[in-house]
Amino acid sequence: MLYILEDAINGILMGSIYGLAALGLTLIFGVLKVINFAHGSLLMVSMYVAYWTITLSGLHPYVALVIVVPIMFVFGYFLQDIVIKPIFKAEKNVREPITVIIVTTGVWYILDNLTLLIFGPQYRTLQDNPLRGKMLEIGEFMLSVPKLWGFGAAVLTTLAVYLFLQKTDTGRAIRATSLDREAASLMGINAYKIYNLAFGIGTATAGVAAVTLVPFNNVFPTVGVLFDIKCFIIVVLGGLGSIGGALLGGIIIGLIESIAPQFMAATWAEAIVYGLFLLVLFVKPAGLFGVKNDW
Amino acid sequence: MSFLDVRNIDVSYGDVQVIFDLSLKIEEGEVVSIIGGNGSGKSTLLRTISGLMQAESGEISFIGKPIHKMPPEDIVEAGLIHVPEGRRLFSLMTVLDNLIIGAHNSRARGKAKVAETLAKVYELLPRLQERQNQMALTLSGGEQQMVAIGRGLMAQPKLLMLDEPSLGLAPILIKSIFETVRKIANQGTTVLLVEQDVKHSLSLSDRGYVLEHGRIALEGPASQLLNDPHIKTAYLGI
Ligand SMILES: Nc1ncnc2c1ncn2[C@@H]1O[C@H](COP(=O)(O)OP(=O)(O)O)[C@@H](O)[C@H]1O
Ligand SMILES: [Mg+2]
Repeated sequence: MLYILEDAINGILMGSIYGLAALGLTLIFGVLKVINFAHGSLLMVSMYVAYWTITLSGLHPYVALVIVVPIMFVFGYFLQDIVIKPIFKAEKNVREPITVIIVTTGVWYILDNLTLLIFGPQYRTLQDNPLRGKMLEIGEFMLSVPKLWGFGAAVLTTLAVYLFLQKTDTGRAIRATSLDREAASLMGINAYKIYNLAFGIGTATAGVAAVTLVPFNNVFPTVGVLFDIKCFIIVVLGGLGSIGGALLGGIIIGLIESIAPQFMAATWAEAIVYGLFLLVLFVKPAGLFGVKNDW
Repeated sequence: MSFLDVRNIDVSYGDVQVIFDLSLKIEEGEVVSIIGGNGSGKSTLLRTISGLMQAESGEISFIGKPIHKMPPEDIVEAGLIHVPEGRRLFSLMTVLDNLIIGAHNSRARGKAKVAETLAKVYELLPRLQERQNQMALTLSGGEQQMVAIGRGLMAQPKLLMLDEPSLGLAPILIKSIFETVRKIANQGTTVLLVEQDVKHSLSLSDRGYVLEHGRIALEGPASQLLNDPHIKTAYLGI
């Protein structure tokens, strides 16, 4: 019984990091109404940025946030502004422009291959990092210290994004644009600027996720692919566009991944994840925690 | 030059032209109605003025500045505010948030200014204050229209364009919506009112245009239009 509890807690910790990784995907979808297929690649780029920042500066991984997050914000902001926005403008009268999805797929391929070209296929592990392999012993429990940090980062980041959207003028403008782009433009809101911001913030949250991951997860050019499908499932589970839903969806996946293998083969655990995904799509397509047309 | 000056515009959806060589003028302080049946092109005209659509030819100027090439947000900055057909509220946001969003433009923004405009809007539409923390989608149709108008006022319009504010409302609410429009005009805002409710809208207007199949069929002082035999038979059913 204790084992299961320990697995459950570690599952929640890891799941919250999945949720953090998925946060940007759900935010960008909520505002732009397109699935960003490059999200995993943005996470991968973030992990390289985090890896090199920490390695070259010798900073504590979480101190490196102050460098990684702004870099990724700017990266996402201009990726949308320079690469994606022109497509939106060309397809201005299309409600859900499929060409934008194709472009994000292109971005995925380009980023992954560019990284392979520049850094090679090898796996990189953060050296001398104060969090590496650390375990916290509480009574009978062994908890992973870097994942505990990750949990804290996930909860705080989710809360910060939520409050930003609810309480600030810019956040309000982002919500308005996501609900009705045309009506928002009649309020004087420049939708393309809002798209840039949403993409920047979404990519910045991937930057936070990357910092939580590099202390215990290898960095390599296709690392984003591992998270891609997971993020997508989480976002559908939690409700496309739902900020809190991403965190909760991530925790559900984390729990299934950590507990199910106690009772069945690991491949079956994966089958449960996909089964749940399909079930939600059939029964409650707005997601477990999403409102229809969530913000 | 007029306050709003629309000169010879043609507007199409793809291959289908719906506005033909249309011109109209509005002077500062006026209340002008555009009346016309379903599909006559009223909403298309407003959408073109507010920059949601582009005219294929012709020019539009507002307070002396050409606006027909501007994006909607720049036209809002200039003070021309469009309250669209069907209210188009931000459904999952509160009434208060909807109103505050109305004040997004740089002329209306700022904590003190927003508080001041909000107080005025609440004075005009006290119902909104009672409902301020409710989600917009939980309101009745009449209340939603009030939010839409209030949101437009929050933008501090120099010219307020209203697209069928009475659409789908019960007669008693229609009356109160038109009274509100009259009050807004009395406070000095120039109003362009698009309506199918010919009698009510002409009664509170200075002038009117009749739009038929994308062309101005008739124009003149509102009192004259109300007595026009064509309008009487075609729109008032007398
Ligand atoms: N999105 C659209 N695509 C194609 N045709 C449209 C569209 N919207 C309106 N129309 C057509 O344009 C004409 C004018 O419509 P509209 O401006 O909405 O009229 P009104 O507001 O007077 O009812 C109608 O014939 C309508 O069918
Ligand atoms: Mg209409």
